[in-house]
Amino acid sequence: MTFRAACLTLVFAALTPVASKAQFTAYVSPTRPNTDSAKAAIVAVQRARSDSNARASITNMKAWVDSAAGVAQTSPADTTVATTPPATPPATPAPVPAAPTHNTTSFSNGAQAPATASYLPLIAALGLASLSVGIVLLAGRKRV
Amino acid sequence: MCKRLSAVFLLVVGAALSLVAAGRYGTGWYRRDQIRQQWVAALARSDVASARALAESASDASVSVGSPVARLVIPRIELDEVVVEGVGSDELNATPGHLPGSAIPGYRGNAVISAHRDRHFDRLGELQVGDTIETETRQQRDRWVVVQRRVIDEHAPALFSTPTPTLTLTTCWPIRFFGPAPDRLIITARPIAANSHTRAL
Repeated sequence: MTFRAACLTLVFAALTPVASKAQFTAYVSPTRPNTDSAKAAIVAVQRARSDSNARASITNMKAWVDSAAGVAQTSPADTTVATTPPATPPATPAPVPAAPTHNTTSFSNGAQAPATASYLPLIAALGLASLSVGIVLLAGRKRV
Repeated sequence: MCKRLSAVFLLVVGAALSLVAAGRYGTGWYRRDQIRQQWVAALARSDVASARALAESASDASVSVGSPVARLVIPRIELDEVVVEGVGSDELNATPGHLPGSAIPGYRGNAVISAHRDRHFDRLGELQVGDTIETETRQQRDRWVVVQRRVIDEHAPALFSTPTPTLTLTTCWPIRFFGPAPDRLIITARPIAANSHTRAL
């Protein structure tokens, strides 16, 4: 490449982004992830254990969750807390009322509709069908 | 020989099933007539004074299961039945049943009336929003307009307390179905006009 061609290339490369309202950017390649995930996890755990700040925040988080749930903090050194019962019972998930399957015989809010289903039409239809088939069979036999 | 035995077996089984069904239907019709007579007699006995006295003591809700509590008229499906207290097998076999604990039709609260789809409510599916219903108790008469019609699963919550007079009719769905129908048809109606003689139970 001649010097003139090189200058033209540089000028073209410099002016083209301006004309197209683009800009030069520098590409920084990301760090390659550790291929050994097990080893990386061990390293992360050890780093977290050695990091006192992270340990403190996790401890505080547990205390905060317990206090929000209404669980009294008990400490062996704190006898007042240990001897007095908690103001509120331990937070346990409220039992979800299962849909009752028994027949509704009295009104209550949210009750199922009374059991109006009946086998009687089916019984009547089966009876009539059996009678009809039996009569046809007997009649056919007599005809033969 | 085998064919003859099969025929005889089918005849016997068919006759037995038909007798069971016919007996059940016949018992229901007989009981229905009895309830209608009881209702007419009760209406004849009750004059204005006794009706007022009954209304005053209505808070006791001392209606025994099997006794007539109201009359239900639905012009669109040509239904005119006396409603008894209770939704047990015997009550529903005879007439539509009033769900114990629900309001008396016309009073504040939700009045629930149920019936079988193959008997008294066999045409309930024809009822549409806007149709009118009439109820008559020993104290008052009311006219209702259907405001909602829905089909729900048999295990789904269907009945809810209401602060105002509401009439709810229930039956099985689909109407034409062999065996126990899996769904319920729920018809909800509201009083057509503000009922001045509506009393709280």
